[in-house]
Amino acid sequence: MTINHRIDDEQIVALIGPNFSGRTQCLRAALVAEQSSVYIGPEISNHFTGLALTINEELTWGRRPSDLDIRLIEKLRLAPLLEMNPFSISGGEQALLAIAAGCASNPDVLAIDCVFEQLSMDNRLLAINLLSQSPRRPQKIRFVDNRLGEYISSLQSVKQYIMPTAVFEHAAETPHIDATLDSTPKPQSCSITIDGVDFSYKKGKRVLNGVTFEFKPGPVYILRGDNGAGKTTLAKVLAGLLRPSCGSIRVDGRRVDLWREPGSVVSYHFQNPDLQLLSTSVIDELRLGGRAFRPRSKAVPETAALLQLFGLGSVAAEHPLDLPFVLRKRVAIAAAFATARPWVILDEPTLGQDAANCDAMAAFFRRTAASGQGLIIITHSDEFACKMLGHTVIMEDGLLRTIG
Amino acid sequence: MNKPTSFVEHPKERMPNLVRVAFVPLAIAINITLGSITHALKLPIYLDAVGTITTTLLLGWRAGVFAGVGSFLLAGLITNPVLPWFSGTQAAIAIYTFLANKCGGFKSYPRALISGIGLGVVAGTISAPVIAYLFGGITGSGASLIVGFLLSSGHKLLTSVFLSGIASEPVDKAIQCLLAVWLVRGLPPKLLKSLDRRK
Amino acid sequence: MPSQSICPTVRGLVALTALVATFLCTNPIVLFVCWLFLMLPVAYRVKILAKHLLFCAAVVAPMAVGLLLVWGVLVGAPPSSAPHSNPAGGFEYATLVVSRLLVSTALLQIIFLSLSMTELAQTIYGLGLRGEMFFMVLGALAVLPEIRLRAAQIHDACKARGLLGRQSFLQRIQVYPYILRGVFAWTLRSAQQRSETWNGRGILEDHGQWSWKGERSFGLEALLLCVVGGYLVLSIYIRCMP
Repeated sequence: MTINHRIDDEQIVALIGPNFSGRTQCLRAALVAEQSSVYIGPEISNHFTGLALTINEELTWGRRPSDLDIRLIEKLRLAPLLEMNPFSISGGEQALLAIAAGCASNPDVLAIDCVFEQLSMDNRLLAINLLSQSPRRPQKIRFVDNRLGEYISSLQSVKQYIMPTAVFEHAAETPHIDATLDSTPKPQSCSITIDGVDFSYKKGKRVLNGVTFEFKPGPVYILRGDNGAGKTTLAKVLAGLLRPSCGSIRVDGRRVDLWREPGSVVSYHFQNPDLQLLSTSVIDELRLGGRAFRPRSKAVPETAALLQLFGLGSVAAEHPLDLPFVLRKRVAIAAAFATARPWVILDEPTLGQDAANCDAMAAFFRRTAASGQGLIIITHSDEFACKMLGHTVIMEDGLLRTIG
Repeated sequence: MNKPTSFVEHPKERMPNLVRVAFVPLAIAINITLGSITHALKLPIYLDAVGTITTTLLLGWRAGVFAGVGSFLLAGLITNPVLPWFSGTQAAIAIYTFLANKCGGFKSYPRALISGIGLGVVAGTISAPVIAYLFGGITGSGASLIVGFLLSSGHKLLTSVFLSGIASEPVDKAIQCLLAVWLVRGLPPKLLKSLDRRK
Repeated sequence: MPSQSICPTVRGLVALTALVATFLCTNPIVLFVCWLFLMLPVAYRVKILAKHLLFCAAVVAPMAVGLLLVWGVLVGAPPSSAPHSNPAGGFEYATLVVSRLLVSTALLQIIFLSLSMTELAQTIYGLGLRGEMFFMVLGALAVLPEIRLRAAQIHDACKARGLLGRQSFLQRIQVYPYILRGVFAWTLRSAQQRSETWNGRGILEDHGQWSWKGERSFGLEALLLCVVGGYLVLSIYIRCMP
């Protein structure tokens, strides 16, 4: 596959198109053609060298320290982190580090695939503007971002290349999310009330500071906040993965210790789908979840429906980890719903999904929440949050507050 | 600055070799981390050869030896200084696994079970002198009780350690071989191709 | 003792000599005194005393109890004698093994745990490891935090999907292989993608950037070599003493 020759000489190009239109293959084709090139994919930490013991080493690998663009590093707020291990920083910081390290190695082509959408809006704009203005920028930058429409008007120097028709290599039909289907598991609804919940990590500051809130089934809750605000920590407390240091959690008025039976009331879908894919086929993955709380004889009858809904019917027999990132994400989300727990928390469910699939996902989430499935969504996407028509809840200073 | 030397000499054949070079440090780190996984699950087991066996099945004996020996030496430097003395056992595990695999010893679960029993005998034999002469026959595990019983019955030290090893190692290594086969079979087939496995 | 003052070669030589001396020495009292009055203060000075004592409690103590029980009570004699012929000799043999273990582990931990990961990599490079083997060791050191994090995340993901339930022993045993599979599968993908990064960035080239760059303290190195040399001589003397 070759890139349209009209954009060959453009410095920064965004590849626009739906899922399976070949954007990733297009990025990789640009890499093969060039002598020195760097590709950064959605699994960001896999694109570090894996040999650097500190962030400073990651940035300066094979180069003199004086070659570094110090301004870029300071603007990306990486300067205070230089002596830390690259794998010990947060996901957003890793994304910025991967971009800075890719830039620092002075490649001819820097290809960035679904990385910007993992950053907050401010950081996205910051990163792209800095890349285009850095004195040591790569000759060519090519990127894919499914959220480009949210901020393209703010970017002056970015050209767009629109991909031709979508082609899916695994089957004749391109898999789309079909929000018209309505046969998902209908678990028993319940409300969750958290009262004065505190949590701090070892030797760290208090992340949850007396959080008090009631989640009722019906609306979709959109959980938002800055990096480090405590959204993931709250989600883990609700899922029973962390034990709060004080406070209480009640399910339908009855006090429960969720940490004693994790996953019994709340099923939590992590941002990185690869952490949750444990089976050798997609269909087995859906059958696997929640079995500790389901009678042996009661299989999940809606497995087939979930496969069709998330466009996974044609890949049901495939190994989940052999699928493209877009589909791995959907498998993991479907698996969360297949647990048939009263509440599901989804962390960045739209990662890697194009606009049409995001719309379909939003429609499905609205409908399933209205039918009684408790749903909390963590997202950085303003557009998706608006589409959900739900209750937006902000995490700030360790506390929750509702807006809208 | 010294002239840089590249250790992967042939660009066209570079990729499969690079994947193998990239995999081995991860395998070493997994071997070192296995203990923390069992600790987190509060399980009274420590499957210290699973990483070595799996790496050997995927990448061959050299990678297996490097992963096994490397993990025990590194773990000795940063966590448990007793482990480096058993690096030889890890090397033997890798070589035995490779040879057994060549003879079809890991083609099915029953064959893996038999290979594991044989591996237990090999591992017990190689570890025996180390346990006997460096640790006085006692490692603090349950097998030490068997050693104590045999010693008090009049057996020599090396014989007692060897016999206690033969009593416990085959079961432990058989489980690990079965687990390794299960792991390899469950890995994504297309990703496995990137390791350029030679059959 | 500033760790960066001792060059890798001297560090390796001191470790090797001291280890040989430890296993040559046949007097448990000498070894125990060495551990108590020399190793522990040095461990405190290089800030690894807590780690070392924790290790002693978790690993050495159970072995010590086992050794004393077996050789002092059950067998009642050292390896070279008939059972129950010399209980005091059995206890002495057990204490010899324990004291060797204490000294050798304290030594290795002092010599290597006092280093940062970067200094450890420079030391390994300085001891002569090169090429792909060096990068494999370096890679293992670098990704250790990541592997631990991934394993913990996969464990959390299993819990979050209700696979661990009330976390009974059987449920935990059943989940363990899935966690291992998740970690290995992630490793495979990570290796594939990382190798692409290496290819694109020309990573595996030795510019000599791992050469040890610390300021040598010749006085300290000479002192260490004298101390271990004396230790070796003492051990040989004790061993050869009638």
